[in-house]
Amino acid sequence: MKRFDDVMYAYLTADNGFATEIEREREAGRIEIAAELERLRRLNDQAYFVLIVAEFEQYVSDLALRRVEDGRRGQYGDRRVCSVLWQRIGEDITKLSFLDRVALLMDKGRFELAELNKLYRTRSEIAHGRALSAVVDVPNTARTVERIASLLQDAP
Amino acid sequence: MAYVYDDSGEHEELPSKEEVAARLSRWESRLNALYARIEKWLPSESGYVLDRSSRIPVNEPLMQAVGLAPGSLPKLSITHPDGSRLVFFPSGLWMIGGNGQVSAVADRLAWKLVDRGTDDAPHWTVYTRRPPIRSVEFDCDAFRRMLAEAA
Repeated sequence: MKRFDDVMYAYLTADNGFATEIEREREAGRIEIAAELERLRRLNDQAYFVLIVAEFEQYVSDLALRRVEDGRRGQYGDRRVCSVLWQRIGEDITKLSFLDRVALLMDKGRFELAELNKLYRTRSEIAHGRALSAVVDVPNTARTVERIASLLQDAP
Repeated sequence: MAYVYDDSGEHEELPSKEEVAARLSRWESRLNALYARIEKWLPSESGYVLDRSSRIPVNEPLMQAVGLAPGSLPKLSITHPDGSRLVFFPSGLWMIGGNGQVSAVADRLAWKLVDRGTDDAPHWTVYTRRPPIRSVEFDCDAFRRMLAEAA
């Protein structure tokens, strides 16, 4: 998976721009405009969060599909299990839940699975407009995703 | 339906109005402690003028959800003798990935500070403004670099 350096730079540039404008509007006494900019700033946080998690989800899907394909060819795992799985899903790995796709790549006991579960649930809450904590530490999310992606890539 | 409202995870029920108010009060204490540290880091006899008398409005989504009235939080303004300013203000307590954030804004520059600690033991960090984007300790050196850039 590509690293998120450019995404983080783009995000921080936009976020810092929001902060500058919010302060400018407050200083000018335009409190309502500042409040609207704060709302947009939170929306910007959410958009970047969803973007990062969506990219990670695609990465997991590609990796999981490859793992099943390799498995049924006898390169990894149990060939018969992977063959049955392949027949069930066809080439549409998204027929498996996101966490099941992750489970193909990572042992269930790992604490990163809990991190992923939390990220994915948060992504769903945001996507459905139900997240009340709209401020997101986006670069921190990106680094977390990069770290876990690296683990998945290296997993046997 | 789960409500996601802080970094400790997802919660099936909203906190009470009193719990939200108490967390907000602890947030104000953390902000005041941060501003006090920054004041100590200012170069002595530099002619900077500090102002902590201004407050900014706060009305976060969770406050609205529990029916807590809008409030205000302190900001810190540091003015150089040449008129340039560096302003610190809170920009979100309930966040994913941290325990509150503060924005630092100069005329054309801004920085993002994130508390990675707890209410009782804050751990303030600041993001670099240019690639590679990194989160570094917000200490005296980081603050003085910020001050030099803002001038």
